[in-house]
Amino acid sequence: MNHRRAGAAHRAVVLALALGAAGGTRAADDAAVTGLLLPSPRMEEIKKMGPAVLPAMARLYERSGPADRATIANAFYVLGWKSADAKRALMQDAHTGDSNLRLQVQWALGRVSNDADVVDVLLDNMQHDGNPLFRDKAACALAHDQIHLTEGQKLHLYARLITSLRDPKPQVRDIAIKVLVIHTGQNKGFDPNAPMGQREQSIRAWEDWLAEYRANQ
Amino acid sequence: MRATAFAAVALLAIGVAMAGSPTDPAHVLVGYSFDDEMTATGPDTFAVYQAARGTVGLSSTFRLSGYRSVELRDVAGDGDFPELQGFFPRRDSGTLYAHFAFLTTDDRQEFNVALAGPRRFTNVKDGIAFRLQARDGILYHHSDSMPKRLFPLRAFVWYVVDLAYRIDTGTYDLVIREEGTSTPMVDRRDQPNAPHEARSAVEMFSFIGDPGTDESKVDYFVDDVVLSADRPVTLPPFAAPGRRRLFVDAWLTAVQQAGRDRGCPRAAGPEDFGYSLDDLRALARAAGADLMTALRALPNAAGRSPAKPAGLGALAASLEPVFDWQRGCDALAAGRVAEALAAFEEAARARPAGRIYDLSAIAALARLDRFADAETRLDALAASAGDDPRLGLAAARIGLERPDLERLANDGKDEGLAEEFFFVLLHRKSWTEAARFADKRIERARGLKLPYDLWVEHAGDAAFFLGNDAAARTSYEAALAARPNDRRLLTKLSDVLWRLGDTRGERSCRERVFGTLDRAGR
Repeated sequence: MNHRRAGAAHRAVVLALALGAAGGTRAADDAAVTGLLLPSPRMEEIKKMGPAVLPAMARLYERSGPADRATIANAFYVLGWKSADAKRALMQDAHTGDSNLRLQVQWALGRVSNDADVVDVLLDNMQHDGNPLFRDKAACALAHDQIHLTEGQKLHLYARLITSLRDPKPQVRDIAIKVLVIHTGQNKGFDPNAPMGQREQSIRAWEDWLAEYRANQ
Repeated sequence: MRATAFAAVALLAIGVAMAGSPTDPAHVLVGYSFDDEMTATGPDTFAVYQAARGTVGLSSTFRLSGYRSVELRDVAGDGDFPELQGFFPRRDSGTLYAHFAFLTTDDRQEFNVALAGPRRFTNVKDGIAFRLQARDGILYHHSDSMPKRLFPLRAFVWYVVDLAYRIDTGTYDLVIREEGTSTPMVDRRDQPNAPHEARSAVEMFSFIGDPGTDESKVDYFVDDVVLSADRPVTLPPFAAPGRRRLFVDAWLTAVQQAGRDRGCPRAAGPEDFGYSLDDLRALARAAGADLMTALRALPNAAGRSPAKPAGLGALAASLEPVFDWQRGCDALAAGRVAEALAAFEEAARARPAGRIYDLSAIAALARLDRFADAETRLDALAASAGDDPRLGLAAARIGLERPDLERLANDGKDEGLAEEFFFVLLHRKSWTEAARFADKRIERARGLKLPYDLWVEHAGDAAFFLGNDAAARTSYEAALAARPNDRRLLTKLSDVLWRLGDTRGERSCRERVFGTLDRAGR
């Protein structure tokens, strides 16, 4: 029964998207996509729709409440497709106080866009958010989910992470070095809780590394 | 033989480039000119992956030596990349010498070449040791965790690469020349390997298009691949194309090993513990750790880690089922079987998708003489993972613990018991008895109108070990008709066809598993 319903929904979306492409109604697209996404996403069927489904998902996101937005953000994460529409929608909640939604948005952002402002908003959250949980999860997103970065964008990310090694908050120093280790496989002896002089020695090694990295681009 | 001779010639040619590189054929690990018959794919040579729309194949359009090279063509936006992936015996000390040549038809398109270890293509120790990347018209090597610029590439020019990788220090010398010139374009000495890690082992090479952005439309050519060691290497001769022992022998060894080893079965990867890579990434992320930390915490494929790794922090709680399993394995090895079973059950409850917990519990139940429970567990596992070859090994283990197995198996009704008995016969090398027993099971299943392709396969196994290759072929072909894409069956049929002298059939079956460089053969 469920299988048959899923099949019907799939056909409806294909039809709706085809109509949309031929000048049909946006509402028809949106209704069909809503059926696939909520209350819980049927990802295999959504994947089959291809990137054409993304604008409808972004519209649905923008008119949904926090719980559904979190579900849709997770769907963007799973798809991992670059999309200006998805980025625009998700960026609205990059500072939301809703815990679940914030985490889903932070994780999804790097998988829908490699724009500099996406990396910057996550770096800002990692460094300056008042909530340590959001700082920590922004770092996780920077470590694992920046899947579309170019070499130049990686350089920008590493430069800001190395700057964060001088942050007065020990937690920020700790998560910044973790992100660097995950990206590079190295930590260059940095201990976030070591005395400042010792930390500086390691930061200078990181800065030398960054200068060499930059010179090679 | 011709490959070895070729390798010696190639090494002599590159000897001028890399002082101290061995030119003795006894040092050669692999050597491919792609001109001779040594292009058979297999687990001891190389595999060809052409998922999506990219292609990999022999070509005579461009070549550095002889009359052929390998052409890799990537297609942008097709969701995958083509790959020529080669295998050689793991090197974890000494120096590895690598020599190869490449030519690209479009200097703007990305492609990558790598040497990697058991952690495959990740930027960690025992992952990628050496990587060349062509991108936006520039050739880079990845050293000290960064892409380092080498030189602007030119299309339609052969570049000859010589690498001396010192595994103990994790450093390499890299020399690159243009075809026909003696002055190197690049001569970098003592470069840190990709992750800047000493003792980072290597066992595979890879030529691919673009693994990330899927934007590359590269069409490039590879020729004269030679890898050698700083000391003589002893390699068993090829038993058949692409493998140094027959597939079926490897499988039989595993069956017999299962019979001898009364401890835990070996884990194949994170899925065995009930974690997909996405699960592990999410758990690590929630604990503020990274995926590699989580992967490193899992016991390796060769056995068990001695203890829970330190420094896991909050991640340790998420991986508790793995540590329960390890505790159970230690207890099983020490003969405290009831304690072992309790630990396996605890792990299985926490992570029901973890197949290794059930396989281990089956071993413990059998050792406690709780055969009915062991079989129930095995049946449940078979319902969800019927294609896992370890189920046969688990059946053998139950059978080997059971004193009255033969009588019960010959009663006839219980398929599980029957298969246990068959594996016990294989374990004992009682081939004739195994063949008779498989035939009996086929007759019974036919009479009851039940599926019997598994017993046809087993009849083929017994015939193969008896040396009756014609009968084995008939059986494997019949079983394959029921399961046309079964990789294990394809490799077994490939073996038997080889022994029968049917080289065309052998190749066809093997290449359905490992791919082919021959465009006409697809």
